[in-house]
Amino acid sequence: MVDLLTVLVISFLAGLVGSITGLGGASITTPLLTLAGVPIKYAIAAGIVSIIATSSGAAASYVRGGLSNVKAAMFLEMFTIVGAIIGAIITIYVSARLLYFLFAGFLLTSFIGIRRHLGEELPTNVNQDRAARWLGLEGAYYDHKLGREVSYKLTRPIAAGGGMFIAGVAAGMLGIGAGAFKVAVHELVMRMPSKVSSATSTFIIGMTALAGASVYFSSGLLYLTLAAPMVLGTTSGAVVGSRILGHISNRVTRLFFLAVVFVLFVQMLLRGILA
Amino acid sequence: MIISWILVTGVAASLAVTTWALASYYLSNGSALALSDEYRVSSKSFFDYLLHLPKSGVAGVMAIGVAALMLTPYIRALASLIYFIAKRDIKYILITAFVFTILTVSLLTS
Repeated sequence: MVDLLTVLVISFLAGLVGSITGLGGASITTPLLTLAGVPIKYAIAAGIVSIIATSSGAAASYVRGGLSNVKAAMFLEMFTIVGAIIGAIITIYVSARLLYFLFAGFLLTSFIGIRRHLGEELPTNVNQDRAARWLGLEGAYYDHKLGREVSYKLTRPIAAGGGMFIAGVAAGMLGIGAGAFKVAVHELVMRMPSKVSSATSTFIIGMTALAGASVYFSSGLLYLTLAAPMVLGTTSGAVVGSRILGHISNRVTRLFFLAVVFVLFVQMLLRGILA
Repeated sequence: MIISWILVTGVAASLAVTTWALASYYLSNGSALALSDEYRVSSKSFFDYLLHLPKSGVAGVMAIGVAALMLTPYIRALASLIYFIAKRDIKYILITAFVFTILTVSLLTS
């Protein structure tokens, strides 16, 4: 039987890390709760509800501070939500072992992609394509670390939509926010500044998780005694994390992101081998 | 700004209710979390669950906290749609309407 304090501590840390990296948190809570003795399917069901808490808690602060690009988020949500539903359907037909390997593979691509841009504080020489101009995808935010307002323009939203569809499929299949992949798509395809990318990913994840969580209301796998402390822990952690994010450099954000993604990659690979 | 307000209000309401529920649970059951039928969610869909929330006890309070959290991004999507309708931004009305419709279907039919 799992302990209330253990669940609270695990979910607080997951909310904190998830908020800073844009990961969403369930990638962290699910394996840790499994280690604490919670059956994996129960952990996944409660985890996907807690993702909504992480996303909403942090996104409120990011939207108010102008860090989230709401227009980009709304556009990309179209793809990720449809992907999540398709992913959930696919999950019925594939083995858990394959899911672990797919997860490890998709984390690895995110790791490599972000690592290539580690030295870049802000994207430079971004030429908006026609679709990005038509959708009005640009914005500005005050960067506390740089001490000035940063204006930016985004590009290639259609290609990013394709990437977000894949992220949605991964989210639906694995019961996670797929924030790592979303952040990579934002930065590498749309040329989004790192902080805007994390904040926008956090904003989108809540919507993806809501579609996924709805499935668990009819599955019989969701327990209020797990979901409630995870909601409290992740939300508290996410609020603290969102306050930290504005005060650290994009390079530190990326390094932190890489470290977390690497640990998760190894963990998923091991679980795939041992499954 | 309205989106931020909705998210803050939804999360704050959910947190307040959840904290109350967990404190009540701890006082009556101790720190071990029970995975029993009393606390298991089993319904036809989320909207069906909303109509049949546990009427009393700690499980009922926990259910309200989780339901409030689930409704937060849904109301955020609705507010975004209303915002773009008010601004008469056809492109984003279509985009947000698509998102809202897909969400509604998933919450009605899952």
